[in-house]
Amino acid sequence: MVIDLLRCVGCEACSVSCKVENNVPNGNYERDGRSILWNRVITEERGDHPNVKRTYWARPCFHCENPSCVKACPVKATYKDEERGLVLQDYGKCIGCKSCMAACPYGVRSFNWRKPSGTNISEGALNPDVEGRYAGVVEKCTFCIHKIRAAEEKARKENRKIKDGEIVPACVLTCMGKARFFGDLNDPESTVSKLARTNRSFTLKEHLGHNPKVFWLKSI
Amino acid sequence: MKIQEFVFNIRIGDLLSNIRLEGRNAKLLIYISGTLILAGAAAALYTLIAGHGSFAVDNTVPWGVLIAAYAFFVSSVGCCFVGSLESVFRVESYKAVTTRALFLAILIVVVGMLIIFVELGMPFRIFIQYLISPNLKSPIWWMGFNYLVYLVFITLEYYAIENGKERLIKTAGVLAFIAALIAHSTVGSVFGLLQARPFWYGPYMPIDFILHAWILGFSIMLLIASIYKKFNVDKKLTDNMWKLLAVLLIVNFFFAFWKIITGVYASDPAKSAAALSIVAGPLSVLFWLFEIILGTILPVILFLNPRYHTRKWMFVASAMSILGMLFTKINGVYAGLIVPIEAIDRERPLYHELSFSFTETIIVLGAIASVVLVYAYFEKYYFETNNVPLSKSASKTK
Repeated sequence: MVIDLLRCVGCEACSVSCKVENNVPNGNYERDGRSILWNRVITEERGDHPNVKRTYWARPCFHCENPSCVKACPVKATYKDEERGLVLQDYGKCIGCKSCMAACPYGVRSFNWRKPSGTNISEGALNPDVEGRYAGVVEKCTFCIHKIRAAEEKARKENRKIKDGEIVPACVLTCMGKARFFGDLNDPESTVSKLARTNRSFTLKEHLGHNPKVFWLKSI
Repeated sequence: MKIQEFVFNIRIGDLLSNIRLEGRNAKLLIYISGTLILAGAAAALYTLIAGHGSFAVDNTVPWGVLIAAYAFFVSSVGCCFVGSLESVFRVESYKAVTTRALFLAILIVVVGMLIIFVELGMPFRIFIQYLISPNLKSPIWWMGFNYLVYLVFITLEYYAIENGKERLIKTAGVLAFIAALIAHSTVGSVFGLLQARPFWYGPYMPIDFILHAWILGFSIMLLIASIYKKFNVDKKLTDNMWKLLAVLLIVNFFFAFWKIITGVYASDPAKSAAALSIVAGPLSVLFWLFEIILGTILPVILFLNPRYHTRKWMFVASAMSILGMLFTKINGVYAGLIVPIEAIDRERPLYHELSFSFTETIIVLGAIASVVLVYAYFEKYYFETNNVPLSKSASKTK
């Protein structure tokens, strides 16, 4: 995924659509840090009046190439999907030790501190393609894995390769500034590959060696 | 009487009728620790049913007091080190404490496991997932495995001593000692291997945990020696334990000193801010008051002056050292998490807000009370009545 920080206007539509698409629990707001957002937009404000500049850092899971959360998990509940290059979470295995949360250098993981409300699929108005959650497990962004799987299935039936831009995660779909791009980084001709190769592209905390697979394009 | 016979012969009715017979101090101990245990068990049960909502932790600070308490408990298993002085290093005078040290090690490791059980979001899965889906790269997996091995060896050593099997005592003693070094440092590695938390990352945490285990081992055995008259057989032995404790506390001070200096000196804000939070930030009161003054300086000063080498002051010094270690663990856990992980997130305060919740605190107090009460019961009705101040093997071989 590539996110163009110049185009982002900080509307946070990506956070909201992600929450709806993935049945993300409402979270518990007894403490500020209890809200669950797979995609969080962090506002950074620099300078003093009148020279103020704002940057909106839209932050999904970075789906690192060398994820430390996967190493930390004692029971392989969080694992690397080698085929797609995604870091995924198996809610059925997670023992809730939270060591992946302590290990993630980007703070993208959330824990269900209480029984989540609004995640029972039988209650309706929820996406039936995404698993419900329960108290005591960790969750995070999946790059809309259900959409990826559906596109793969469709392409397989039609006996063709997935086209560039065919898979559109919820955050990409609702981005009004078209700041987000999603595709196959292994394909040098894909839009994301081309953008990731530009001078403006960078990743966070590169010195740690996690090789995040979400590239940002500098805002200036 | 062997300990397993003793355990199987405990009757609830006897326990209740014993309460009525005891003196005033014992009654006070039973009522206070009994209340704390019941409250702690209720809080733990509530957590198991309702989730971790009542803990003072969130997605930004995922680990809190319970992890610190767990670290404190599993380090307290360092009693095993004191127990090993006789069986491994042939320090004959320590024979007097070996049995009790091993008994305490077993008791504390079990209670420690119960704490981590409550801390897990999905605790009941652990029994299956640990076996069918082990991640051998995970320090937490190794921690569980190593503590299990450790528990087996201590129990084996205890069994050997109880049955006077001389050769087994030596073998199990050495194995338990090695397992102790591995297990204690593995707990440290749970923190030390997290590259995302610069204050923890590195070899310090595993090494610290071994040292803390020695300190807690000596402190706890000294505390017990100061409480129980009959057990306090030899003043030479307690003075020796206190001396070693003072040396270890001074070494630990310099470990902490250099850990903080290297932290503050660093340009990496995540590392320097964490170190500053301990000496001059939100954790500074806990650090200076409990860790340094109560936990380190006073026990050492009390030791240096022979006038204070009495049972009363020995009790004070060891209790302070234990308290200091508890806060060392709390500070250690919080310091790693207190700096917000988002380097880009400049709107947030420099430090996360930290607090203890009632549920967490009561679970920790309940766990401590259960160790105290169970030990006191065994001391009175098992060790004293069976006359175990010197280990059985000693009386048999002599």
